[in-house]
Amino acid sequence: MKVYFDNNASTRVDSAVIEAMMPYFTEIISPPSSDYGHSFGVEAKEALDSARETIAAKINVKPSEIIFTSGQAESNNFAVKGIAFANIGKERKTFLASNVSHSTVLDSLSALKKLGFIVKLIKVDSKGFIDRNHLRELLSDSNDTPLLVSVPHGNVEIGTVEDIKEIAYICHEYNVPLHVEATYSFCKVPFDASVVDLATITSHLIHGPKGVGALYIKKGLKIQKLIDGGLQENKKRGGTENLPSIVGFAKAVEIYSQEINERVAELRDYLWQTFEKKISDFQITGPTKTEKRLPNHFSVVISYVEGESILLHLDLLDFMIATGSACSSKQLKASHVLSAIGLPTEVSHGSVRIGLSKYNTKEEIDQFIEHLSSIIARLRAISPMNAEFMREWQDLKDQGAIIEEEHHHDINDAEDD
Amino acid sequence: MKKNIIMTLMMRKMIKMAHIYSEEVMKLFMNPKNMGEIENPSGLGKVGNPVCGDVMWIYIKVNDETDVIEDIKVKTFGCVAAIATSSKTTEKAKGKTLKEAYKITKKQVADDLGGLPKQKMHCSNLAVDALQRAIINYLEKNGRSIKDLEG
Ligand code: FES
Repeated sequence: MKVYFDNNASTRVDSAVIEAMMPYFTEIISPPSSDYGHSFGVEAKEALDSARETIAAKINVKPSEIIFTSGQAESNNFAVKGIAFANIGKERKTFLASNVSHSTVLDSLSALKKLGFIVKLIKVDSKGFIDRNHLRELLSDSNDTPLLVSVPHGNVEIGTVEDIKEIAYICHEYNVPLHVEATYSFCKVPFDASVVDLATITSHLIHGPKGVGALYIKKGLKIQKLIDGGLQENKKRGGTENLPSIVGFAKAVEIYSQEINERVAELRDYLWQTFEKKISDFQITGPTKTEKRLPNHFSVVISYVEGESILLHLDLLDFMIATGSACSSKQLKASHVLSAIGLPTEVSHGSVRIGLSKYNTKEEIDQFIEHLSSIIARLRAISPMNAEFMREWQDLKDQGAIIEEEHHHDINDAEDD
Repeated sequence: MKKNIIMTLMMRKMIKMAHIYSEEVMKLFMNPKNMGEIENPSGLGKVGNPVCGDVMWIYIKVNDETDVIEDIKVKTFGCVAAIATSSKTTEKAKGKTLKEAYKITKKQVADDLGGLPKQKMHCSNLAVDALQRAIINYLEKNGRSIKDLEG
C-alpha cells in the first residue's frame, strides 16, 4: 500500500469526477459552440457554461470573468505577461511580487525583466506573511507606480494563508491591481475573488484532472491575451476548450465540501500532535496557528538531518512526502521560500512538508510517524550535527568565520528552475 | 523470515530507483559502513560543503609504526550521495597506508559507486577532502608533513 502525503503537489482524481468527464470523451464530442448549429455543439456549450458558473460562484465572481486555461503555470503566465503586454510602451513598468511567490510567477517575471520591465520583491516575515510596510513603501513610490502586485493566497511550502482582503485594500489605495495565486488555497480556504483583479486557480489539487485551471479576470481590467487564434473564452484565450477536463474541474469543485476541509484539518491536527509527541528537535515552518494555515498542510524543519535522505528512506517504505532541502534541488539551492523566511541552508536541509487529502487516514499517520522517527534516529546517529555543534556553528557565524551565501530566489536565473 | 521478504521488496524498489542513484549507492545509503566516531582519534578531518551546506567528519586511527589506517569512522550530514560516498571512501581507506589513502580520488569513489548523478558529484569531493584533512591532521600532530607521503 502506497501512502501519498504529497497532496499539495497533486491529488488523486475522485471517481465521481472521472464519471462526469466520460461522456465528453465519447459522446458529446463537438467543440462547445452554439454557432455550429448542431445539437452536440449546443450540449457542449451548455456543459461549458454550467462549469463556468459553478467555478465562478465558488469564488464569488461573474461567470464571464472566468477564463479556462491549462492550469496554474498558464494562468500565472497569463496574469503577469498579459498585464505587461497590455502596457508595452507605457510609462509604468514595474511589477511587485511576494518574495515567496510561486516559481511560475517569479519565472514569468524574470522573462519580463529581459523585455525591460522592472521587478521588485516584497519582503515577508518569518511566517511568510507579506510585510505590509514594505508593500506600502514599494507602492508609494510616485515616480514608479507598479502595474501589478502578485501575492500567493496559500503558500505551498509553508502553508501560510494570507489575508487577501487586507492586501487588496492596500493595493487599491494606490490604484494598483492585485493578482492572487490561489492554486493551493482554492476550495480549502474561503476566497472572495471579487475584491481582487486577477486570480489563479487549478483543478488537480482538489481531486480534479491535471492540465486544467482558470484565471479570473476582473471585468474591465486591461489584459492582453497570450494565445491568439480564436474567439473562445470571452475572446481571451484561443483554442478549443478542453471540455472533458473543464467538466471534471467543475465536478471537483462541486463535491469539495467544507466537511472535507474539516475532516482533513482534523487529520492534519492529529499528525501535528503525534509529530510533536514523538519527534524532538524541530521547528514548524510557517504559521503555528492552524487558522492561518492551509487546512491540509503541515511543514517542519527537522534538526541535524537532511531532507533528501528522509524522503528516500520514506519512499523505500512507500510513503511519499516533499522537501525543500538544497540537496534535493537541481541547482542545490535551498527553496526560495525557506530562505525568504530567514532559514539558513543547514537548517532548511531538514525540511519536510506534508499535504493531506480526504483519502488519508489516521492509521497512515500513525505508521508514518513511527517510520519517520526511526529514520530520524538513524540519520541523527550518523550526523555530526547536534545542539552543541549548532551552538559552535552559530558562534563561528557570529564571528564572521562562516559566510552565508545569499539564497534568495535569483530572479535572473529563475528560468533554469 | 519477514525481514527477508521486506529486504527483497526493498531491493526491488531500490533497483527501480536506480535511474537516480546506482544500486551500490542505494545499498550503502540503506546500510552505511563505518558510521560513528573514534574516541581519541589519531586524526580528524572536518569539512563543510560550500555548495549545499553539508558537513562531514572523518576520524582515523593510525598505527604509528606502519602508517596503516587501522580504523576509520565517519559522520555525515547530507544527502543520499553524501552518505554513500562517505561510506565508500572509508571502506577504501581502511587498512591502507596513509600514503595509499591520500591518493584515493573522488573519481575512484564515484566509479566504485557505479557513478553519481552529475549534480551530486561534489558530494564525493566532500568525503575525499575529509579523509585528506584527517590524514594531514594526523601528520601535523606528529610533527610530520604531507611531503612525507610524496615520492
Ligand atoms: S550533500 Fe547536499 S547534495 Fe549531496
